[in-house]
Amino acid sequence: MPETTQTKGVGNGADHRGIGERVEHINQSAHELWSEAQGAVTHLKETLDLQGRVERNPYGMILAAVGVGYLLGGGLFSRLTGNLVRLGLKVAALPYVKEELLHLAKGAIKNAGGGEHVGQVAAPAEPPKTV
Amino acid sequence: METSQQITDKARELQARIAPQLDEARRNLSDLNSRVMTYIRQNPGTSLLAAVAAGFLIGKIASRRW
Repeated sequence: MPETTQTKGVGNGADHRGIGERVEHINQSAHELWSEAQGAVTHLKETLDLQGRVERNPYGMILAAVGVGYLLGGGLFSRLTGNLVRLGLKVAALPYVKEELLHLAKGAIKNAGGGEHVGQVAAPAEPPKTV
Repeated sequence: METSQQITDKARELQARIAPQLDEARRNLSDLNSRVMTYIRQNPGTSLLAAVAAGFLIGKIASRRW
C-alpha cells in the first residue's frame, strides 16, 4: 500500500493523519449507509401507504393483519382453513347455483307447458274446431 | 276475533317495550364503532401489530389442535 509507505516515511503525525482520514472515511460511509437505509424505509412506507390505507379502511386493514398473522402462525394447512375455504367457496358459488336452478326450472316449465310464455300471462287456449 | 285482537295488542306492547332497548343498543354499537375506528386511526401501528399477534395466536392454536 503506497499510503502506508508514505506514512512510514513521514513519521508519527502522518500516521495519525492517516488513521484520522480512515475514521473520517468510515464515518462518512456509515452516514451514507444510514441515509440510504432511511431513504429505503421512507420509500417502502410511501409504497405501502399503511397510514393512508388504515385511514381509508380501518377494519379491512385489521382483518388483513389478522390474516397475515394467521398465515405466520402456521394456520394455512389446518382443518379450520379448509372449513373456511369450503364455506367461502359455497357462498361464492351460491349465485351461480341459483341462476342455474332458475334456468333449469324455466326449461322444465317450458317443456311441460310447451309454450314460450314463461314469465308471461298464458293466452287462453282455443276451443277445438268442430267440422 | 278477540284472540287476534289480543295477539295484536300483545305484539304492540312487546314492540313498545323492546323498541327503546333496541334504539339504545344501536346507539351503543354506533358509539363503540366510532370509538374503535378513532383508536385504529390514531394508533395504526399498535392496532396492526395487535391484529397480527392475534392472528398468529389463532393460527398457532388452529395448527396445533387439528
